[in-house]
Amino acid sequence: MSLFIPEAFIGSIKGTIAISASWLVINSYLSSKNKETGPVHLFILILWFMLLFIAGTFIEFDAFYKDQIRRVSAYMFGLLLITAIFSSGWSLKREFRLFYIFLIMLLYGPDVMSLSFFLKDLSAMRQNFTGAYIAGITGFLSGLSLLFFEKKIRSGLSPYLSLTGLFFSLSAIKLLLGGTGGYAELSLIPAVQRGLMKFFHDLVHQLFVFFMVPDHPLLKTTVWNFIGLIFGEAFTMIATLCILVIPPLVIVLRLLKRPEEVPEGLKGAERRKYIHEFMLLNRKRAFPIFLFALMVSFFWFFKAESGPGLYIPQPVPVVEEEGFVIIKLKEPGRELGDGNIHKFILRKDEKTYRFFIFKRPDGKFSVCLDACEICPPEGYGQARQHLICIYCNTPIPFNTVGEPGGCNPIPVGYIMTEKEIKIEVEEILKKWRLVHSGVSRE
Amino acid sequence: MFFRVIINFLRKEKKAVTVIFFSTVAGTAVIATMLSLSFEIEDKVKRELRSFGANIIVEPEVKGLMSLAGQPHYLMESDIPRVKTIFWRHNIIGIAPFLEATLDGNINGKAYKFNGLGTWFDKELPVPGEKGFMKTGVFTVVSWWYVDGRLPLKRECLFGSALAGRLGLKIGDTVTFGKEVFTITGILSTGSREDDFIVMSLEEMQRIKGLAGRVSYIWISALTTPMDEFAYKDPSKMTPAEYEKWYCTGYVTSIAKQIEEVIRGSSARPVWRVAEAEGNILRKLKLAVYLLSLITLLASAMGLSAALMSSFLKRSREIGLMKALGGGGLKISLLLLSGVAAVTVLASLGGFLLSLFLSDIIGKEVFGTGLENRVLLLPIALLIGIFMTIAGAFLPLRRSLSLKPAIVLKGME
Amino acid sequence: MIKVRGLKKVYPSAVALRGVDMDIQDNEWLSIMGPSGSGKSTLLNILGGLDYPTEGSVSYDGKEITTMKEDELAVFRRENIGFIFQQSYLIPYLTALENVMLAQYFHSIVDEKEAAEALKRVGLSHRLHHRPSELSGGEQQRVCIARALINSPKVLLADEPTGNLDRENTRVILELLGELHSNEGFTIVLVTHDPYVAGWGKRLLTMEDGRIIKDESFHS
Repeated sequence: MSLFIPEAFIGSIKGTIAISASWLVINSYLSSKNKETGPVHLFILILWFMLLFIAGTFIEFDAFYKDQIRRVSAYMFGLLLITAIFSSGWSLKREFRLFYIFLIMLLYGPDVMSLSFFLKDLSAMRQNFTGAYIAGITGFLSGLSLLFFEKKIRSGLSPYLSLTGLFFSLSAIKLLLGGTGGYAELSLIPAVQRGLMKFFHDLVHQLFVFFMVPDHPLLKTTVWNFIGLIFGEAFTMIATLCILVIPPLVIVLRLLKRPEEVPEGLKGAERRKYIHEFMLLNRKRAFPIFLFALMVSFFWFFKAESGPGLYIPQPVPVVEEEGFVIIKLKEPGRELGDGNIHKFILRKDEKTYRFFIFKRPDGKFSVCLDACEICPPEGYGQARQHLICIYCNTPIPFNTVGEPGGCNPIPVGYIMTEKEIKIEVEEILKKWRLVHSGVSRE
Repeated sequence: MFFRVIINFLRKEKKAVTVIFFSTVAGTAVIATMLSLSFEIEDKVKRELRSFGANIIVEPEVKGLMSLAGQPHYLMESDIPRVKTIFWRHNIIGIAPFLEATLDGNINGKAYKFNGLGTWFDKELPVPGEKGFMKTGVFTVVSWWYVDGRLPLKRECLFGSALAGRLGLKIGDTVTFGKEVFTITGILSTGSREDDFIVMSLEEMQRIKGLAGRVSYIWISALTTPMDEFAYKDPSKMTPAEYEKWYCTGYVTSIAKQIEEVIRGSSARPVWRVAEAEGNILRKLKLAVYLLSLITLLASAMGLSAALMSSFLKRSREIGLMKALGGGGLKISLLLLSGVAAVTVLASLGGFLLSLFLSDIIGKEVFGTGLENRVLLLPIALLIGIFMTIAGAFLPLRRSLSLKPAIVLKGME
Repeated sequence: MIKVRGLKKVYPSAVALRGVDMDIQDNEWLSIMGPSGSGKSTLLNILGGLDYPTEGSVSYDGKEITTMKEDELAVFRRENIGFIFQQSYLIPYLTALENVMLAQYFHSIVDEKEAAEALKRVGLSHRLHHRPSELSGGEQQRVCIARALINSPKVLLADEPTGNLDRENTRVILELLGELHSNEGFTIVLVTHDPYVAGWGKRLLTMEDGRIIKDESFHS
């Protein structure tokens, strides 16, 4: 086996290029405001990322927390996007360099940690510790080499950046390059879509409650089918595109407008020149924002073509009530029997236990731990025709969910009444002991 | 102003407009058709890969001296339910045993030697240790068998379409094996070797041949983790972490290994699904389609380029004047190309419409059904048109813009 | 102020300029006369940045233009120079108004009202939407003047602006130029071989064989 491992190189070069590019973009923006960052800032930044990397390498994290760290990355991205959209109305009087440094730290902190997990996994899987780390560190340094061209790139870039453009550029960089495994960013479109689906579902539900429409059986089948049709996958997919693309496009259109007022005393050719230059500058500033919209549409297009990916819902926290966890079959915004997996999380004695409830196509409810007996407990995702074990990629046919064995999730006994499912906490704790502890068997 | 520039271009440069229009229509139509074809291929491959097919074949293990004997070997039908006891039992979603043997048949007094095949058509297999049944049978492992007629019961059989065609048999005809008369209840089309077989239920086959409880081979369909590089590693050389991962992953190889252990005297091997092999060919086809699209794009752009070259040459005075007025390259290009763009946008629309028609014809020719009409191809066709304009206009524009205005306006003194 | 020093232009077949030195003051009306082939048009083209000299320098208020790149020259032309040619070079399929607007477009953005205003100043308010072919020679040349001045250039370069016109139209055009010159205060450099036309200027250069042979100033 060769010493050099390309995945490690690519993974880390992607990460550092993203960091360097963000740094460059921020510096270009700041230099147009006559605020430059110095080597001290860069030093702080590099130190921070090195610390995170080392922490990720030497501290053993639970799979659950690893997942949470990856999720934080996705949240940061969403936050950045929202900031970008709203920043078009801002006019900042003073801008703090440290704020931007802090922004990069936050934005890419989770990524760097994921990178360290990735390298660790890779070196274990390939049985080649040195190779993975040499490749990773080479990639890291190569990505940083972008910073040598800082002065050249900066002057070319700064006319294109407004505050809004800066945030959109950062989003674009993160979308393109962030995330070693492509966890956070590639899930942007499905995440928004799921959010929308839930929103529409809740909206309709609340409306029904508000107008006191009875839950008549007839109403259920016909009307809900109709609603399902409207707020189904195709609809939310298009709504997703609108939500992601319309705000930047509105900002772009606003930037393409003529100036509202022209200084007094400018006449004829001078006046036209003023307007022209104003528009040219704004057009340049609109460019990165437009590019962002274009990129998202591009990703959307591929997502729409390739169909839905793995559905991995966020676990809903539940509490113990007299030794039982009680989950209602129907709650506003959630219906256990809708054919999707519903994940829950229970905290007890400083430990977490994940389980999910799933109604199989044959009509039977299954309550299972979100883990099997043989894999490290990374949980399951839902594909079109089966569940998939996130750790080993093994497909689990829907109708076998709830049966023990293989890579199937560990089933948990439950009591079902008309309105709710009751699960004994003791049962969950007992079954969780079967869960593979993460240490090697044999 | 732009409007009049466009109108003038359309009126004065009919020849260039015609050339540009037709080369763009042809280019976009061909490329859009190719792309819709490639999308269709992609879809087909995905659908085929999704539809179940047998991916494990279980055969009698033949080793050592036994192979010299030349006698047929069999597996025991009674072992089959044990497949549902293996570690990966949940991932087994289809099972079909086959008994293959020659049959001496008699049709209308004429003797023939037939290839016979017995299998389960639709069988509820009791799962050991559980209350439930599992639906098994030949249709759980193949999706491409098509029966014209109905499935055979006792004293009934299917004829492969090729065989039936050769002998001129149809549903309702009879064939005699020994003393027993079998009625043909259907014609089987599979597109493979079974088209030359007589197919009946496993029970009937075992009875006729006196091979009760025996099967020749078993097809099994299992839901598996796609094979990756890791799957090919030798487990004995793995680190603990690797071994752990390998151990708990449902690769087809691991599942086959476990099946082998429960069916006596068997050897199970994974087979690549038909669609996967087909997929490779289709992927190559797709590459060809992309290459062809690229060539078409270049050809169209060259046609455009030639037309624009002469058009711009005729207008070089105008261009010289624009330069003298202080026009920058970008603004002059925009003015000059506005007319061209109008033509190419219209032409791409035309090309898109034409591609709908073309893909219908080609789809019928290649897949037997028209291709799905894709509205998505409309923006793509427009993009292709725009790209062609830019590619085709690049050289003529560069040439025109490099002319010195003084020379164009006055000529040398 | 325009400074021209040691200007030479050599074509493969002929030598057009053999060393020209001159200064042109702001707001001056300069006529250049000479027989055809004396190099006056070449001089004008180089002054307007339409052509590069073989040798020598041309500077506008200290800014050298002979070393500028093509696109810098284009920017320079659209902001500083207005051209009028002997033939009225108008785009045949655009109306008078649109021909003026074209110059606006290249300069910055179009402004129809301003363009109409400019045509009104040259007495063509009733001819805004006529094509060049529907205008007389004098009217065409007036459109050219409006177009040349629409971007408020510092310098107007005119190459035989009345070469194709009769005496009456020539007078009208020159009166118009004179009026605009005194109102707007731009520099005029006008090349002609007609002494009547040359006489409208305040200063007259006479060229022969690529050199300036006489430099006279008139005071009226």
